[in-house]
Amino acid sequence: MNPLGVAVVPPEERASPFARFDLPRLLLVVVCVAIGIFLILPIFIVIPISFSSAKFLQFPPPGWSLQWYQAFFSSPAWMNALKTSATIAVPTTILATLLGTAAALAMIRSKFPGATLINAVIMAPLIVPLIIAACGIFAVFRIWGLIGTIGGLILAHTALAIPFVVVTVSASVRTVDQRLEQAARGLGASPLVAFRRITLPLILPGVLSGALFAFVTSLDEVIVSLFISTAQVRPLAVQMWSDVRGAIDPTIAAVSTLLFGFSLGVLLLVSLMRRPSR
Amino acid sequence: MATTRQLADQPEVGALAPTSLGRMRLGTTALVLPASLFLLITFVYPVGLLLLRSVSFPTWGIENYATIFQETIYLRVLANTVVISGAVTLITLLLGYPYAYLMATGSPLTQRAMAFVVLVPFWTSILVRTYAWLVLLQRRGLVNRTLEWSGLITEPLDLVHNRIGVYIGMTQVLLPFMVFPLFAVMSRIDRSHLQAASNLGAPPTQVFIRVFLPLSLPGVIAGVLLVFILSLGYYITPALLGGPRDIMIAQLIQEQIGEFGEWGIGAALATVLLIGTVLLAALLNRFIKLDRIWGGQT
Amino acid sequence: MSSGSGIPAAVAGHGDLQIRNLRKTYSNVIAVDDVSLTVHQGEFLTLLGPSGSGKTTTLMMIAGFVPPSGGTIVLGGRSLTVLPPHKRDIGMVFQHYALFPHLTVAQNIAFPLEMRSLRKSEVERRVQAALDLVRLPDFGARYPRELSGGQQQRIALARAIVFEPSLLLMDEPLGALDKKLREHMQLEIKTIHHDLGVTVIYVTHDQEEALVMSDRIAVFNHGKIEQLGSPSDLYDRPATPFVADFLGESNFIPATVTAVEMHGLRLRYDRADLVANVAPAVAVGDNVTVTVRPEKTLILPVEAPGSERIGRENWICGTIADVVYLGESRKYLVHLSGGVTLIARQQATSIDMPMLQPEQEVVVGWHANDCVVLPGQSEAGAEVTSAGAEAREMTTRGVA
Ligand SMILES: Nc1ncnc2c1ncn2[C@@H]1O[C@H](COP(=O)(O)OP(=O)(O)O)[C@@H](O)[C@H]1O
Ligand SMILES: [Mg+2]
Repeated sequence: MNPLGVAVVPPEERASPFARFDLPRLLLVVVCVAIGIFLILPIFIVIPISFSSAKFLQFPPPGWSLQWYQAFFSSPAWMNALKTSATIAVPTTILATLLGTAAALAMIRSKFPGATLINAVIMAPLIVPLIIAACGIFAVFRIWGLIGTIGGLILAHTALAIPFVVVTVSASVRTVDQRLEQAARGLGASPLVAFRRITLPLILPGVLSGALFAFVTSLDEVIVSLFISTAQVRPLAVQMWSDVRGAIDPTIAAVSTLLFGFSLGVLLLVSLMRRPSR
Repeated sequence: MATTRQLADQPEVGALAPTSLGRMRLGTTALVLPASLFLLITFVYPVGLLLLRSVSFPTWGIENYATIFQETIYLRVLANTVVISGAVTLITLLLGYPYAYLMATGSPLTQRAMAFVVLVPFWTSILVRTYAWLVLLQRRGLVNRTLEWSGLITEPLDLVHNRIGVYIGMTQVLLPFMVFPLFAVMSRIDRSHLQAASNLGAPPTQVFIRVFLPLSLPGVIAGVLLVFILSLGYYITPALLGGPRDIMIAQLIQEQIGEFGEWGIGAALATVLLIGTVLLAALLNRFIKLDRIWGGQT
Repeated sequence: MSSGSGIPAAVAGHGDLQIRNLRKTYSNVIAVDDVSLTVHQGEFLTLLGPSGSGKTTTLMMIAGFVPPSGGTIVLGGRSLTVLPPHKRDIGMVFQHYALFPHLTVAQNIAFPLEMRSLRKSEVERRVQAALDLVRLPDFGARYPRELSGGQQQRIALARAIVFEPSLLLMDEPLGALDKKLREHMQLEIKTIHHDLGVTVIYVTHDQEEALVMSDRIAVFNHGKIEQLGSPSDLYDRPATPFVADFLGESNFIPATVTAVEMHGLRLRYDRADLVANVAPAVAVGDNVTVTVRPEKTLILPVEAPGSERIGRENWICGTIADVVYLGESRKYLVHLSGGVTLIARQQATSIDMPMLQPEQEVVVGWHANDCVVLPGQSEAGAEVTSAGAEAREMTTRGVA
């Protein structure tokens, strides 16, 4: 009867006779389904292409094969890129999670002079356009001799990943009642023990999603990596970038499918971890 | 008596007192140092150095700014950037508003499902998404083939390597950033306000226009600012899906520095972009705390 | 204060709200269970009951925000059940006022008038009249957040009546105010009700508020109406232990009927013989509950001369367990010999009235007219008592 039967009648009542002939709402649902399709369906297109038997990009695929996965796993360039990405992403994740978690604890748990400034420094990578970061880091890393090194890529990726860890962990630190830790201290636990036995287990889901966030940030990062990588040290995303730009070869569909599957897995993991804290 | 003493020992009261709790407090504060120092060295310093080059390269002075604000090629890119960002912001608003509305007023199950749909692209590598669009939108791509097959067109349309491609790609990438703040604000609108309007005689459309819409305005402003800010500095999607006439400022910076070694011009462009971004971000921060946007995705 | 039950049948009819067999079930809860009720035109009727008893749900069904699972609602001969909320023409004051935060006070009050397409000058005139009525004539330009709780309450009231609805619903409108202001607003709402002659359905869980304001009260419990009647009906002749306990304080004494007489009953509790001047449908040998209000009792030391006992038919012996000093009165907890604890309240008529002490042997007496006999003897009685106490406690907390 009205799009606001919606808002006026509580959601539990939606299935009632009141909402039965609700044309505007039906239209709204149709529009939203279309938007949903626009958001995710294009991504799924890479899956059938990756299993295509054609020699070049063709849709629908004339037949099915695993040739592009074979091509991916037997290509030295791709395998090298995969290895490079893993070598960068794992240390980045550890470093960013440690630094970010510590910073989040401090920022939520204590007030200190200059907090606004420090907050700005830590959140800067979220605001500063990546192209600016990339040029700046490129300039400095040239001076420091870090271009084309694994170490350089780790440092750059860690910088970009820290704020994501901080926001994720902050959100869960906020939900933990600080008096729990104080109670543990009152019962004789040292500060470290109180943190490890009480606070850490409670914020662990947040820390883990922060770590996943950091890992994905490193894996997917393109722009900064483009500037500071070389043909020898070239992460997966940069390899993909040059392939997407160049000839369209379905190997990239196979890589995309693998990455997409990985993202979906991460997303499910993150939403599973969030649930208990809600 | 005992109670008073215990109270005095509470950290809220004696935050920096030299008690053991006070020391712990200082220890906690110190935890912010490693990350801050790390970012100062690997992020703030590099960005600062870049900005400095806008006035120091090749020689000291403001010629670089004079150049970018006088020569048409630069001005055209600046204009392009604002126009494309504005258009993308408008499109995401038009799509995001109904989406967030249904999400905010739907059952918990609808809400979960719709949030998931927005989060999938959010978590998927931008290269994967852009590649998918390339496949779909090219002249022999799925979209053109479907349209031809259905008889709607006889000649394939140019959907990519032009403005259309940029709009489609960027809209998909940035729509989540419109939906999150809109949803956050809409879901906090008290239903009793809508009931009151209805009770006072407002038909559904009036309830929407006169009560829901104004109450959702902070979310609209936040979403618009956020998407606009992110669009301004966008690089990958316009670079891959756009054509030579759709160059945005980020591509120009990349070209100047990465290809021509024109550090001065590139840095001046970067400074302009950063100033715009920071000003808008400061404005945005008044409507919605930035960390809430990234922190509240599920 | 007019007595609602006294509205002549001839007047009742055209403007009445008739609720028949109204039900609302959620997947696993029965929120409202077969409620039937007629609210007369111009009447002030209160739905009173503990939290969760279905008052709000009933009100929301009348306003049209909750579709009933069954039953009918008819206002002035017109069925409301199929009308959407905005066509019902019912004023409502929401629990937390629901003033539009983005509109000024004047715009809030003008809202229903604009929805009815009134001329601009007429809107302005009526808005000002409504502001005058709630005695905030100069507040039109403010925003709701710039008002105190009491002022917001008045604006919400002004907005609900400015379009002259024939029925006004109020859901715990004073719940968020402190005690002083509540009492003041109670009187003000009564005055406005009187002046406008609008029918009011008022929801509260505060029994005092209900007693002060209402023509009639419907006591809700578990989605049902336990009793419907004027305040004095409910207070003096409660039909169930729940009502006796929820409105004011009550003592419950289990007893056995020993004789049924023309105008009353003879009963026995422990070693005491009691009389009650009521005649409910009970027979000799039945187990019943005698209820008596603490303030209707007289408490005397056992050694008091017999002359002081004259005039009260019922006397029970006991021991004082506790004394609570309440300023204008004293409250005694008395352990009766049969194991029941009784509450007796005495006005402090003069300062030097002797205070009875704990452990003292006493007798507690009351008139045969001052007790009500309820059928059945309750384990349930005890349960109801605690539920009532809880509800009262909540009322108190609500005030704080
Ligand atoms: N939307 C709903 N979904 C499920 N149960 C509800 C809903 N609304 C009310 N109830 C239940 O119905 C009962 C009556 O609620 P309500 O009418 O709000 O009581 P009151 O206003 O007297 O406190 C309660 O048990 C409550 O939990
Ligand atoms: Mg209620």
